[in-house]
Amino acid sequence: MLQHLSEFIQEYGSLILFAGFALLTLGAAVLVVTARRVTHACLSLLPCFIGIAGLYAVMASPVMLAFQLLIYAGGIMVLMLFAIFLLERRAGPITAANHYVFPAGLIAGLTAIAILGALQTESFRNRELRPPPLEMRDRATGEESWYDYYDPQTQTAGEQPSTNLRRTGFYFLTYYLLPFELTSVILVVAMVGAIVIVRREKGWVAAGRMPARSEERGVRSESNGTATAATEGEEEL
Amino acid sequence: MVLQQLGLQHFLALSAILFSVGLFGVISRRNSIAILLGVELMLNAANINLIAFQRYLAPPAGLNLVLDGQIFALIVITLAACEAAVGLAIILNVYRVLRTTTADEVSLLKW
Repeated sequence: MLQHLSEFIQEYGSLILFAGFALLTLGAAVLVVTARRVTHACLSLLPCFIGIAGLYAVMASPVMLAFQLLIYAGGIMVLMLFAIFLLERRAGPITAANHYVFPAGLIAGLTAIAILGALQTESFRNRELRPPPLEMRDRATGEESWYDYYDPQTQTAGEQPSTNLRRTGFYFLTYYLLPFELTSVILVVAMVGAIVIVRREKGWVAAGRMPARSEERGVRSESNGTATAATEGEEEL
Repeated sequence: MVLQQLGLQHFLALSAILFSVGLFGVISRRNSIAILLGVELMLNAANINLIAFQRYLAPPAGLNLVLDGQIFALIVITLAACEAAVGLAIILNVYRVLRTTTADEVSLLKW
């Protein structure tokens, strides 16, 4: 009995894990695009990202699991939630109705059918797709090697860092140094840009460049003449 | 199809569906922030593809040592963070000026 169970798990364990994480991911993703309150949509991103992190674990990529949880679930989702709360403080609960549901569903459905159809073509199905064995072997000697770094030039395993994380860092600072540096430049530019965009420029709206709103603003600042500080604080979105 | 060994096809099919769900969100949502959420789903679908191809199609079959897919995916995650930061900054500023976050109503540059 126990042996049957362990055999079953060995046979179908990764498939079961995949099915569970895939259901979690897709269910949460459907909630993200259909929830009425934007806050709820944003919160359902969390199980979606956790499911994707689990899929990375099934694909034997612990580095991606860690960064998925750190950056997506811990960074991007919280940033979005922060922005939503900031807006809701001024605008009240933000609901997001869907429009053009039928054409949108048609386009998305056709995209899915096209990609899934491409997966069923002969040339794709007949390709031999084996998961690579987990143990590492040295190409030159054929023996198991602790050093699982692969050198593209000599096509052998070399004496290099041996874990997924260490190898990722090694590649980033050697073969992929230029993309790495370019990414860091883009990151700096984006952060500076975000700060510049959000920075409040005093008097821009009141100067009348936005006629529709400047009247409303003018009336309010006159009637609240004594409470300017409070208004200013509130305007600081 | 279903009860076979877990392989590339499973992950590609999942990522295709996830991409379509994100695309549906991007097209049908009216709120700008909700559109950004749809874009995040699409980026994640692309990342799943990259890691799946690395896992099951890395050039030297038998040596799972080329990490191109993982490197790409990490860069995509970084760019997604940039996109979220800049996008949310723009949305906050648009709300400050126009008092709305609905994408349809932001038509100042439309002739």
